[in-house]
Amino acid sequence: MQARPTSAPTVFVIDDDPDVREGLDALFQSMGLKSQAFRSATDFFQSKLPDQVSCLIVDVRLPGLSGLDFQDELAKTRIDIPIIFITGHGDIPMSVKAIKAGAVEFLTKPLREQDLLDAVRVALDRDRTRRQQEAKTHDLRVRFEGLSAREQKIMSLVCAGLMNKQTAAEIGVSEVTVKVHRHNVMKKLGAKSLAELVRMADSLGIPHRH
Amino acid sequence: MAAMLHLRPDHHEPPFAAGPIRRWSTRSGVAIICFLALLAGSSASAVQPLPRAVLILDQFEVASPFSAAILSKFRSTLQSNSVRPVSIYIENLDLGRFRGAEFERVLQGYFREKYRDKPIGIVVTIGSASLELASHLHAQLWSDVPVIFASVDESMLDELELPANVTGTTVRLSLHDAVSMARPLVPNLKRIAIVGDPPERQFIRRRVEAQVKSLANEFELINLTGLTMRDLRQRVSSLPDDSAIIYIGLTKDADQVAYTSHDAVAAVAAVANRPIIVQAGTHLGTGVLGGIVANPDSIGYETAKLALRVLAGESVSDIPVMTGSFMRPVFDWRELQRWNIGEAKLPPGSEIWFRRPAMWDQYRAQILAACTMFLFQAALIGWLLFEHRRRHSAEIAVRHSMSELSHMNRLATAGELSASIAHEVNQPLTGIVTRANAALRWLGPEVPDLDRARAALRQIVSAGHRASEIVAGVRSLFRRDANEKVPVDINKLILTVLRIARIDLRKHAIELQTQLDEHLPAVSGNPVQLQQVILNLVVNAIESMHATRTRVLRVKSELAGPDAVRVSIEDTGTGVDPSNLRSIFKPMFTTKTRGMGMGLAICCSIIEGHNGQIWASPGSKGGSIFQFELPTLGEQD
Repeated sequence: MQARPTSAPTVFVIDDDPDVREGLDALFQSMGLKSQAFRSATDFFQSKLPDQVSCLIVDVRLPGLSGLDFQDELAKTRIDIPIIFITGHGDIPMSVKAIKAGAVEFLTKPLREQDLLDAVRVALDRDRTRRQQEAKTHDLRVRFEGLSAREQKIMSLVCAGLMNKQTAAEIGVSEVTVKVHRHNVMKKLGAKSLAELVRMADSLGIPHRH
Repeated sequence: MAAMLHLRPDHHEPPFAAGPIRRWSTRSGVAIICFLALLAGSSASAVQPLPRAVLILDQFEVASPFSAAILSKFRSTLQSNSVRPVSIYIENLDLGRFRGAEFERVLQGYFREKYRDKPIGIVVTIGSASLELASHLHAQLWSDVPVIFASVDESMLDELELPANVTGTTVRLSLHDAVSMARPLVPNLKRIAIVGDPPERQFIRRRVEAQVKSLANEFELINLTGLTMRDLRQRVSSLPDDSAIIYIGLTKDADQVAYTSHDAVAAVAAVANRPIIVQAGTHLGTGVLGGIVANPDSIGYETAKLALRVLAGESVSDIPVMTGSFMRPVFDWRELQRWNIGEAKLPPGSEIWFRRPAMWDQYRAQILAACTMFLFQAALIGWLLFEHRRRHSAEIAVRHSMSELSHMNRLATAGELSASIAHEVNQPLTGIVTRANAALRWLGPEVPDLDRARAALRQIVSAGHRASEIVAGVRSLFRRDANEKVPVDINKLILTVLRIARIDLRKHAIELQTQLDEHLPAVSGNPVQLQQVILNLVVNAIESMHATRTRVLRVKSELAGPDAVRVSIEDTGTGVDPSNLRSIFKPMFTTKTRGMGMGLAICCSIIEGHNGQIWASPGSKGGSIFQFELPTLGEQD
């Protein structure tokens, strides 16, 4: 949780009630978290969001755009940020819908501190993991794109489970040549074993071909 | 006929001229006896049915009320009891003033010519002078016609032996009777004043002089006969207190002025200072006390009965003379009062005339009508009071049940709005709880940040106050109302309601537009009730927009004229069918699948209870506008 100061996680709060906004703001400050509050979903969308670990705390009933609609809207704009819903008076169908759509938690006001902290921790962890995952994949893709076309082809065939001999037959080179390319691929991508290479191919979405 | 001639010499002397009364009566007596003897002789020839005609010889003048009453009764009795009509001829001869042989001769010729072609069945005479005249004329004119006499002094009969062809009725005109009747009525009666013609001209009464003389034994007599009317009136107006007046009939005074007996007694009574005793029933009412009086009605009646019997063929000789029953004691009630005479002192069987009817007798119908009206009115008033009371208690009951309903309506609305209310209350609580948590952290073990903790706590205090305001607002919406009226800021009520309804508005994505006039005057009203009206209208508006795409709720307050405030709540909902715009305010009217249909009825009742009005109209962009107006504070007080 104790992140580096430059990349302190931020909690975004969207609630039209000033009491709620200011209260949450105070609480997160006391916890050493950065927080940023918005009156409405529109305000949130209009603001420039910092690229760092963050989560959203949103009132289910918002003026203009309801919390669940907001969730859809976020998904559409491919902003993948964990959401914690809060409500003054929630019902089960609403909470089920929210959780199914990917919400971290559904809390009722007045908020219990521990519940809130747990939810925020989970949300931030999730975001952090996501961000790390995203960063890793990005790195791999850069390296993958540094491979020659033949190397990429050979990687795809190897990860599809073909033997060196079969791969050589497939592309019309000698088995030795395949071994050299394969070694180069593993070296460039930093894969220590064939299993790791296969996982990388998976995360890059490289099609397995028979 | 010979007897008649024999009688004639007697008639050369005027039989009614002034002279000793004794002589007059003797002579008349002889004449009548002869006349009757003659009639008896000729009666044998009357075998055929009598002509149905009656000739009445009346000795009085036409204007005499006494004879008029006799004649009237006679005629009516005769005609109503006779199968075939009877001709009645009447001769009013005024014998009190016109008499004598020459007059009789003229009359005889006159009658002969007059009745030449008119056969007479019965001759009826009224008064003793008339009977006397008939005896003179009879033989020559109507020799075999039966005679019936009436109103003849009883004492006259003592001298007569009636022939078979004559019968009739008598009266008893006794001065003695009159005086002995008067004695108990007039205290200390010592003097008797006699008013009338002098005895020698009394042609009804017989032996007046003798009667007067016998009175003189007991009383001091005041002779007021033979005076001029002027003197007479003067004398009777200054009689002593122990006197009474006896009136014996006056037809001519000393100035030779002729009167009817009736007019004369009236003239006397007008000035007399003592009670006047009379002997004719018709004199009652002229101002006389009364007395034992002859009753002309019964004389006329009985005489007619006799005539009917004769006309029916009965022989006159079989009919005895009828005496007695025509005199009766009659008194004028007003005179009894004047002379202070108690009715107990009157002779037994006395009639009292002219009794001023008691209020009850005189106005019985009016009194009954008035009493009935009064009772009816009283009953009506009682009934109205009863109804008023009933109505009053009914109103109380209605008001009570209306207040119950209204409370139920608020509770139902509370149920519908419970999510909003919970949300509304939880908002400040959330703020409080989170800030409190923050404060705890600032006060944490390592390096407490007291300034931040203090700031958080300060915010908690103000948030707590806000929370309590919200709770109070919610409470004010749903508490049982105290039915009191206070100055109310209508905008404040609108905002309180909208605050609660806000969540619902948001839930249904309804845009709220408010346009509240900040300078509205206060209205006098019950805040709970008025809030309920606004809340009902807002909730209705929200519900009406469930199915529409455009959802705008517009709430407006403004001044409507100098002394009224208007609140308009407009929605873009499904609207109200124009034909229902009026009936929606009636109880049990509803277009919703659930609900009692009482909401608008309660609104209407509340607004009317505030002397305001509420109405609905179609909205400008679809939907509907509900508006109400309330008088401002200035006008109500």
